[in-house]
Amino acid sequence: MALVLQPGREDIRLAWLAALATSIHILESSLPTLLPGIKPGFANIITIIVLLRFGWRSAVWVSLLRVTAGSLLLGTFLSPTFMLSLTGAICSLLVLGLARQLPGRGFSAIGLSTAAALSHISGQFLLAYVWFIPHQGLWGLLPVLLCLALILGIMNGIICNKVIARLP
Amino acid sequence: MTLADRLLLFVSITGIVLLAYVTWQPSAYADRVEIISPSGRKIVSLRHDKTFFVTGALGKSELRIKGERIRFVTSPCQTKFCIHQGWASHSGDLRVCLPNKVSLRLLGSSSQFDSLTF
Repeated sequence: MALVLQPGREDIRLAWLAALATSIHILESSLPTLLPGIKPGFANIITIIVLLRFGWRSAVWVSLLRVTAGSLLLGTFLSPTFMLSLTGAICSLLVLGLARQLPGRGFSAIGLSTAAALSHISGQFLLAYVWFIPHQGLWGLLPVLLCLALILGIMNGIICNKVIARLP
Repeated sequence: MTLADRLLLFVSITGIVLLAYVTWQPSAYADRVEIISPSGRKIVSLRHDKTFFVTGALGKSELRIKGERIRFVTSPCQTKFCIHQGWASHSGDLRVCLPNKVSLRLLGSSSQFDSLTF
């Protein structure tokens, strides 16, 4: 007897959103970068919008599917690049989960995006320090990376607001 | 922007500035140097000024220690990057001549370093 998995409405919606995030992820990886390791993280805009509209569980699905599918398509699956990407995604999802627990009005898209960007780069930095380059000199780079993450996080948050305003 | 957003921005900007202040302090001065060449590694004190040669893969690299600093003076390599790197004085500093396979790593009393290459 064949076992049939019937995807529900929510599964299909998640798949669409993950596909959208993956497309942005891949388009973004072909952009030239100013500094190696710095990406604008436009794919995270989708994560934030999903978080605001459909909740944290959906955001986790979309983000992790995006990292996995993106790495399979780019050919970096299980490579150090993938590990960095995955660590960043997990860290920012954990922080986003905590940020959503805040009572009152809480964070807007700008705050969420900034918090996600900062935790993303911090997680990646710690993994890089512990695993790849355990040299004290690396710490000097952290303020620069955090500064860029802050700027890009705010920028992505503003884009999120613009996108949300146009959504039905 | 909500109150939480503003707070987050304030805290993160303050944090980044503090972190930059802490991490961009110059490191301690070194008191000895580890010299790695094809013939092995040795530790030389920076306390005594001297000029000496280390035999590398291409020939002899001339090193000079003066005032607790060290630098490449002459080198048989083509690019002379090692010479242009200049004086090294802080613990953790590296001076490397890849063609001649001679590298210097400055060691201080209170430093710990390690590096993984792959």
